[in-house]
Amino acid sequence: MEKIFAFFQHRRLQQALVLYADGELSPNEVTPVRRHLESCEACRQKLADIRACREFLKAGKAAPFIPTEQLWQRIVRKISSSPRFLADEILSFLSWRHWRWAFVAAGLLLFGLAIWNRTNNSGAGVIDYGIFLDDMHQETPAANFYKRYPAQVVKLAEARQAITFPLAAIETLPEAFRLDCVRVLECNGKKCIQFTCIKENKVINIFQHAPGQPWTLGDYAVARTPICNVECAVVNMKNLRAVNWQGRASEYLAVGNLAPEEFEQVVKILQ
Amino acid sequence: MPLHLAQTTAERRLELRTIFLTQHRRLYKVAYHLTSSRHDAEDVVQEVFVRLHEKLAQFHGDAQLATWLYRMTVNASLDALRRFKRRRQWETSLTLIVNEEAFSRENPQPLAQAEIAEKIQLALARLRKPFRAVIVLRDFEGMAYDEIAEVLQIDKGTVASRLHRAYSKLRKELAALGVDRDYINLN
Repeated sequence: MEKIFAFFQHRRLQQALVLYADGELSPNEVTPVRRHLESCEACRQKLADIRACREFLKAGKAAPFIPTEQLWQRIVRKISSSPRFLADEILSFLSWRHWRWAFVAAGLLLFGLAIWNRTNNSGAGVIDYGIFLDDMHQETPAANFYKRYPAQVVKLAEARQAITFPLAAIETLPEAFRLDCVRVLECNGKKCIQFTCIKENKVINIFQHAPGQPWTLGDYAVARTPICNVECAVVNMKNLRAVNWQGRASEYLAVGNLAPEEFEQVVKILQ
Repeated sequence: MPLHLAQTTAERRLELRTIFLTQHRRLYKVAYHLTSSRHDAEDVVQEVFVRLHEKLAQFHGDAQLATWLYRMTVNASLDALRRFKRRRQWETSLTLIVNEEAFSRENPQPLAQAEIAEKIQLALARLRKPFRAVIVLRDFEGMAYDEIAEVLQIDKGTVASRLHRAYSKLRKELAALGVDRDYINLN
């Protein structure tokens, strides 16, 4: 009988070990747990396991990259396209009694839209491309990647027509860098060009934006390193390295599993 | 009337933006640790804020709102898991959490923490959903038992017993991933 009682008490107190480890027990509840721990090797072991587990969780607590602005834009787009939002807007428009104010508002709206469009295309706003790198680093399947960043495969000549800025002299890369594919890519509503090159079965993607639309690297830890006398921002990832150059506001971003000297070659030619 | 409506829409957007800026990081982390996928975490946070936009007028206190946000995040994350059943994919495609990987000459061994984080994420992904949720809320979010109970809509005792079982299972999963007791104690 005593053994059965001790067994149930052991089970009950074992359940309370987490609360004990967290200091969640009242002084009255702590005493029997302590007493039990003194005599029960299994529970002592269990408590040590819980604490070790906690410590391990604490040691590996790393904050993932969090895409703030991009996420907010997604939410706004979703909300704006929701039927409820549209209904609100239509309702507010239809119930206007003074139509002349409606015309003034429409005019202002069009003017605002024109200004917004212009601002948006001028690249004045800083866009965080951390998530872009994140996707590359995560080895996101190509289909998913290009769903997020709509892309169109084009010929080099067509790429020149698709953009308004002078294209990088990609043809001047050494023969070892075989130009595999050119894409017109859309990032956050802005067009850029993606050159995919292959060197000895290694893939390197070179992205080019319009001047004045720098690649910002978000929360990534960036090392400033001179590569062939050019100040470059380097992000070292697990299997990839991302380099952007011409100072902090570079329109170029190269991502690939290349050696530093191979990146140096790319930077030297395209700078 | 129209001006009032227009103001309401704008104000609602501003209010949502304010809540987003103060809460999205925590919610994203919870969603990420539960789903082990950045894409799913983004989808979850988006879904939560779209729902919040519809229900914004119903909240009358920060505490009530925070609990609701966490609850929605946990539920949406668990739904995402149910929908996609990506366990196998996690095991093959999960890679290191990058922004902790400082590329710095002064710090030549930045991978250690990322490796631990990866192991934890893999082990968490193998746990059953209720166990995963309590560990994420308790150990990553530092929530009190009462708060976890409120978010998960269970009682405090259940939180404790789930945590107890979750740690046991996590230990086993970590051991299966080659993280033994000595390694844990060392860290």
